[in-house]
Amino acid sequence: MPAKQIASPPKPELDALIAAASRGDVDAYEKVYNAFFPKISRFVAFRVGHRQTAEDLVADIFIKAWQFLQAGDTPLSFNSWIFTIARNKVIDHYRTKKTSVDLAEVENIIEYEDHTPEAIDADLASRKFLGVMDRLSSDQREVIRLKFIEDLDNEEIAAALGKTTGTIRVIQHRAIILLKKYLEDSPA
Amino acid sequence: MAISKEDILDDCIRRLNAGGSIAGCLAHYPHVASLKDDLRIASYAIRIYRIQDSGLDRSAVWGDIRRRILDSKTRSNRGSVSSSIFNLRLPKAMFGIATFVLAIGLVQTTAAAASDSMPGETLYPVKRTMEKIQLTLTIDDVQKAELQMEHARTRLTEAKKIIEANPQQKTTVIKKTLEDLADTTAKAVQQSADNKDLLKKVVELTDNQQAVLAGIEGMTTGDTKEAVISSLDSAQVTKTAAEMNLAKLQDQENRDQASSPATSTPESIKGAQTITPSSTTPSTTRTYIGDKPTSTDDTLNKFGETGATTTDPIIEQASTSTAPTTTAIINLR
Repeated sequence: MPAKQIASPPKPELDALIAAASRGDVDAYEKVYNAFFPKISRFVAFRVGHRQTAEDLVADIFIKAWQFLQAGDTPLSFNSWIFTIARNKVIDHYRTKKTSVDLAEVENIIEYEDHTPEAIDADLASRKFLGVMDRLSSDQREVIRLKFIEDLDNEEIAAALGKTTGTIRVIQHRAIILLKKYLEDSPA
Repeated sequence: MAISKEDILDDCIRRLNAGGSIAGCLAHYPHVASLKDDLRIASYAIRIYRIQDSGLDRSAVWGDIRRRILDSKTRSNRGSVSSSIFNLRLPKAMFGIATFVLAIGLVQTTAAAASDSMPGETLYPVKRTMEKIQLTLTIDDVQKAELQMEHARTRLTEAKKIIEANPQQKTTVIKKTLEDLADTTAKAVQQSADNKDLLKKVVELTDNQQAVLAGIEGMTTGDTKEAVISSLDSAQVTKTAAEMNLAKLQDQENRDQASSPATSTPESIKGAQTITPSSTTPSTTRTYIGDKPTSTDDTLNKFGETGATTTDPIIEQASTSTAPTTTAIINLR
């Protein structure tokens, strides 16, 4: 069922809140938190199974974001680097679960675990769609998920996956072409 | 201004996610080639999952965030500097030295990456070394005790996270972390020996340790479980020691007030104290740059106040503190 969406303030207002937060205004930061909580919490929760751990990670992400705001040196836009922080926190969390870690492996071939809640009331077409998603590469699948299901924009997806926005557009374009092809090809 | 097809698709996906319809999008953007097919695909995904709640408690998490932000603000108002690079809190006067010391080699960038590392990770030893440096550079006794408590809290969080993530594995790492927890807590008690406020904080700290450890004990088995139970015992012992200490101090205070109410001053009370419960030896755990006297009376009088002038001689002795404060380097780890 659709979640209750907290309306995010329009961009100029959000920018002003972020600026106030960078000057130490905690109340302004709460509003920034409310605006980003839905996406960040979904991003973490769908990749980290344990609820308490997910909540701890989300808190850590926003604390780190606050620290960077106070330090005042944030060249990129807030929503791209908060997703970079989120990505790093999730990766670090995966590291604690592994006995040996190849850093390059984790960072370049990040295959996020999937803890998305079970699809409910999926009709035939949707189930077929799920089957077809498996045929995409993991990058393509991830971009489709982040764009269609988690409602991230390209900048946020780029930060979350550690890629450029140009690459994201290419991946998405290719993924949609493939999905169309597979949906037409597969038996009804 | 021409909008690209991808931007149109993005906009329509946003609308669909917000409850709009394909027909509505197509009406908004007529004559866009293959938009209908693309939206059909998007709608399958959206229909299956619909933007679901993460299931996480937004206000509870905010409560945690707010408390930690305000805690760090309180600490920096007390005359220490909160540096987001290192996550260190040092007395302001120490920051020059700390910057010089830590600017050696590649430590700056590594330090930022290390500050979040967990036991078992490559950079974890760096994190622990940084904590030791923090301790060495902290002169003020109260701050030192509080820092040790902070480190104890970190050890507890580390143990909790590892156990929650992997209750059956990493026994060696868990055991070591819990041992360090007990060790640091014991040091914090020693450091707090004659200070009621600090002792109360120790009691709170060990209370919390017991609560958290009891919570995760159920997830563990075998050796790990034994280690957790042993930590619970340690926490209890430490808590009892702190409570006894507190009671003695309170007793002494009451007696002093009864005998000479007009003349008791904080210094004379401290001077009169020779509380040395068997588990604590305050003078031997304190280390100072430049070998300052270790007698309890002297140190409490001289170093007991936050922001005392005693930091100046320390700076002169170090004689390398002219390095300017470096600007923050943001390492997004």
